[in-house]
Amino acid sequence: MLEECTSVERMYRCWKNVPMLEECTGAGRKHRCHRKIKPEKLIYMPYTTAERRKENAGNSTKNGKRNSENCEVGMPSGAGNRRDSGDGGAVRHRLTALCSDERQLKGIYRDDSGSNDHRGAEYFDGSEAMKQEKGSIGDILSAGICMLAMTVLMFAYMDDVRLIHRKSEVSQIARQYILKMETVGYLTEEDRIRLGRELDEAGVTELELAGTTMDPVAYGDIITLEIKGRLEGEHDFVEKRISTAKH
Amino acid sequence: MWKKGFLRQSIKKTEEGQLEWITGLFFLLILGILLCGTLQLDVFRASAVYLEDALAASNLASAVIDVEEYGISHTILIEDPDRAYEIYLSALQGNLNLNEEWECPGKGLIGGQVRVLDYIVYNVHEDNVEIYRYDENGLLSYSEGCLGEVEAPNGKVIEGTGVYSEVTYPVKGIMGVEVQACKANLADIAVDER
Repeated sequence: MLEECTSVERMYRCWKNVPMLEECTGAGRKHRCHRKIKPEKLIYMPYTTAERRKENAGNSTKNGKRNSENCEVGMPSGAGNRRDSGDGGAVRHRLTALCSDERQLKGIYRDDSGSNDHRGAEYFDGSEAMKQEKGSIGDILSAGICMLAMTVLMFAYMDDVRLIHRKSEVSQIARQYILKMETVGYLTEEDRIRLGRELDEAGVTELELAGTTMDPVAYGDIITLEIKGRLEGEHDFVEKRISTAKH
Repeated sequence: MWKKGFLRQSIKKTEEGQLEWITGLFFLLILGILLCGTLQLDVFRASAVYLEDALAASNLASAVIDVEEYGISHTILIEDPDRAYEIYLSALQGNLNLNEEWECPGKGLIGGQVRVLDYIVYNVHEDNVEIYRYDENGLLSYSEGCLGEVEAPNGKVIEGTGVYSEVTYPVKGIMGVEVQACKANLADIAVDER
């Protein structure tokens, strides 16, 4: 085995049911075994594409072992055993003998021809595995975007609700002070300061009380409390309360 | 063979990706609908409280008692129902921040014109209840009843001098759905013995 987190290594580990390398399962990486490719369709060989080309070109009709390697080519699931040799006895031999030293495995080949001669097999570069990696990123991306959208939605909702509550709070303060004004006939200086402080605590800025009855009026006359301001520095509002003096 | 297998895998992969997106968007949609609904309920609640407050304040504003009569007989009476009605209309318009057409300019909480359906003054004198009723068009009708038998339109028994009013207004909901809301309030006038 290569023992590096490569697509070939991952595919091999999937076939052999060997746990993934830590570097393949670390943070931010998610390589799962998708057994969509039938193992029978795949063969693995202890040499790379270049070496295979050389093999195909120079030694295509010869049988036997590769002297430079400690192992023959092998098949993971015994697929080669099921195949009849026909004229490809040597090939069969090569396929049935498992690699003695799997560390020399360098490439995975794919052969859908059904014949025993795998010389035409394509080098499997783990493109499926790579696609699976893309799928993993896609999963995370879709989940991430949805989570982000949900968070934005939640924040927008909370902002709106907070604003409604602030406005209700201001309304309650106004109601409280118009009742006070009813009993006195106007907004006293003391009440005006207290009102300003309470509205300030409620998050009101740029407070204006223009239009408010500031001087005493007779019994039964109209009194007005008009509060203009800005909530949370963004939203202008006008809170108006009208009643009659009952002092 | 190779191509078929490859195609099958590609289709499956696309379906899986779509499924994840659909699931995510489904939850997003559900959350959106849920939050919209909750927000709408909050708006309805806020508008209801706003209207109730304004209605109560306007009723109290119009309840100007005859101080002389109170000084003489300790009887609470609203001396001039016509003036009370005028004050009520003026106060309601101001408290709800309505324009000349009796509409809320922003149309945030109140979606259209506010109409006063009923304005009733109950003057209780001993066991007798004088009822001055102003309808939607402002026409006055007068009637009398016995104390303990007269009920306001909202079902509350009249026990003392007071003012009842009822308004209706449209509220705009999600996707432009308009609902006609109705609010009523009875303000009793009591003497603070302190």
